[in-house]
Amino acid sequence: MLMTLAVPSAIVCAYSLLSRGAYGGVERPWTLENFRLLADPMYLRIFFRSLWMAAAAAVLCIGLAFPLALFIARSGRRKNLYLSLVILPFWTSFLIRIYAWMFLLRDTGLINTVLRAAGLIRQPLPLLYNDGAVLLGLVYGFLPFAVLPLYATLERLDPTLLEAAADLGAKPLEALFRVTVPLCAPGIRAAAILIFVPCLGTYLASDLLGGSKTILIGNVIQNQFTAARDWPFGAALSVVLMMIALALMWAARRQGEELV
Amino acid sequence: MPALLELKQISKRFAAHCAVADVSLSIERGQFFSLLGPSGCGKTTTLRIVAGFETPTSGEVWLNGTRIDPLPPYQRNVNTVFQSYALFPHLTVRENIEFGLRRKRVSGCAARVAKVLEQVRLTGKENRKPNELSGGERQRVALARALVLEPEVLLLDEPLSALDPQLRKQVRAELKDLQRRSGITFLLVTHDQEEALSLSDRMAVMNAGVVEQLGTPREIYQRPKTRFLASFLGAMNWIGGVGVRPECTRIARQPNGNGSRRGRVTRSVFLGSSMHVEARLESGDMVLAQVAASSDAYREGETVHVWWNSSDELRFPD
Repeated sequence: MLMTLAVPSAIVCAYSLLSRGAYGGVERPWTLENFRLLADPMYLRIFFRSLWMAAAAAVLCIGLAFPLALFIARSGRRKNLYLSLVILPFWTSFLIRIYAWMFLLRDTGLINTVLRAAGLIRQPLPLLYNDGAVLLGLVYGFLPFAVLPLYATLERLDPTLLEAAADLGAKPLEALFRVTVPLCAPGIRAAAILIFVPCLGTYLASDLLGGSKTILIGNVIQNQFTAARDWPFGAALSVVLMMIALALMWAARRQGEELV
Repeated sequence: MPALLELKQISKRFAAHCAVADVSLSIERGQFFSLLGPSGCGKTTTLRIVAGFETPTSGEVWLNGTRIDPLPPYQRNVNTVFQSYALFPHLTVRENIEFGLRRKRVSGCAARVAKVLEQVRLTGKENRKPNELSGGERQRVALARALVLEPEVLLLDEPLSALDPQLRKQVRAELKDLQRRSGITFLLVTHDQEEALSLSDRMAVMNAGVVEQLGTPREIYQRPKTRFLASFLGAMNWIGGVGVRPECTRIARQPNGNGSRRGRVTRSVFLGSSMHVEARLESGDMVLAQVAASSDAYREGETVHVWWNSSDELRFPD
């Protein structure tokens, strides 16, 4: 645990306080300069944009996963089959699956080709290289992370509570929003963290599906460690990202304790 | 007067298993009615059919002149007290009780909640969550949550089974009291014969999906129609194919005329208010006699004579 978690984090923190080497890497002296650079409005905008993207992905994932998890939790003996279908995409690398989406979405891709052949459109729809495509990639990639914790809480939900709700006059939708959803709060919180945190630092989906227009903080960090060769600044960005993630997890935990 | 709740030839089949077979019941307004039977006899399924959680395979349910079996639970004017109470863990006592009133958009919510809280002696605990209450308090919240809606029939599914035995007797008395004062018709499901006998105005004893007998507790206890009922309700001695209740069985050291039978005491148990004497007759039958605590103590192995009045004999065609 210590080796795999604490040591790399400590190295990143240390790098963020050092100076930039001429050909990558880090050199002394120690400095806070890297963090001062972060105040640049451009980086703040990218941070804000990344936060927004991650939040949108989490909300969409949970919104889509909830009915799916509910369906799986109520499908009796087929539960295990459906759960393995949810996990199935993990057998292929995320990178390959993102490429597959590119083949579907690009101007000469499957969707545009079919729509054009059907005579529904003349010009190809701009499906790729925009925020929507990035969000689609994120939602697609992280959906299982919402389905699994939601399924786990729904599975444990006492069905008698829903009978009680109906008995007291609640129509199925009222029972869903007054009983099922509130009692799923722990699962919703877990799903939100599981999706929000990795989405905040994502660079693959934005790099491949977003083209040059959609830059997220993950792309900036990747760039600092590769093309820009500014490791200390990349490390400083990573530290800020970690802090945001930790703060959010702490807040979610506190809220969870209050509810209990 | 027409019945308030009527079950007409209700059957419920689960795959190959028939849980309820051709059950017909009618319950009048203001009655305390019990469904008594061993586990798996179909009594809970029958209750769930009235509540609307199960659809009968055949038959009809009528409530106050309306056929309700095609209606979903939320459109039926009956409410249930669940065996596990099924209180909403994320809501306070008040919110649990208000749940039904809000769904039905009843006005004067606060006054009704206050009144029912007083009825079940929970005033002052409105803002607690279910996990901060004792078992007895939870049971009363479950009761209040259903009663506040003033249902035509209150359905109670083994409401006392989760309570410890001491509390059970007290709550049983309170339940009867609550029913009398509210005037609401109660339909109770239980496997506890003492509960059914002491609470019910009328009751039905079920076995293997059918109603074996319907009547007042006294009728069923004193004149059971089947061998099953005779054994299930109270204790019963079976001597030469004839049933005799232990409390009707007499025992003495001297023979009582020609009718008495000889046996040896196998066990004698003092129970405080009464005494149980168990003896093996010469015929080989075991017999239990319940006698006054003040009567003589019998030693094991002692020879005794046992008899009873022929009017206390219960006979069943085989």
